[in-house]
Amino acid sequence: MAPCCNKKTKLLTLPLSCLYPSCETVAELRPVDIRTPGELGPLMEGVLWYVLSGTRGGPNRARILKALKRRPRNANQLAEDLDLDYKTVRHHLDVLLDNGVVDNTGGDYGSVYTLTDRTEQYWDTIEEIIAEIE
Amino acid sequence: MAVWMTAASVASALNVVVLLVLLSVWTRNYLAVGSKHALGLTVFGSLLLAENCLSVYYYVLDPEVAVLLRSAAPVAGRAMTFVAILELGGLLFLAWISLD
Repeated sequence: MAPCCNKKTKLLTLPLSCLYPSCETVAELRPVDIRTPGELGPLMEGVLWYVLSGTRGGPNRARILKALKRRPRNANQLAEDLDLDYKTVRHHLDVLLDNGVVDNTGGDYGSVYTLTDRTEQYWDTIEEIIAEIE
Repeated sequence: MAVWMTAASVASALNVVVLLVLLSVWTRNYLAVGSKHALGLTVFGSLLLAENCLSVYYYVLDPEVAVLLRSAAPVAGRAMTFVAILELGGLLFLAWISLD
């Protein structure tokens, strides 16, 4: 981890890991992350709505989110726990990552996936969307 | 006019095909997820499918309307073709994001 939070450092020059534990550089910070929750509301709901019920992989993505809600896991564990193909899980995780629904920590393989704060914040919406899965 | 009517029929028929693909995704999601969002997409797709089936029927099969349209001025057929092609574009885009 980068040396953190020197009192004289201006906010903008702080390592991002101080603010967002999963981000090391500015490049990793998605533009939407700096909006306030109020602005994010409809946007995030739209993303979740589309990703979970409008697409071919939607139901499996919902199962992945449910599993990650219970505890963070890596792609391998998800494939095993949900009885899905490893490649399928990787694809879904990439889509969820692209849409800012999940985050991953660590390196390439074996890296652990968690729900983003935003996703946690909208968990009620997700539950509503996936009311009857499993 | 007949050429344009054929073009409009083909575009509407393609809409039917793309909608069937979309509906297979949305219906399966509704059965798996049971959410109102998936239901909304399914209902939307079904109604649009009905619209396009009806278009093909009127353009090709209806004994009165099809004959009348084929004998009408070409501008009408051209307009109908453009509308159907725009709809096809929209549906193809939707299919692209939905099959992800």
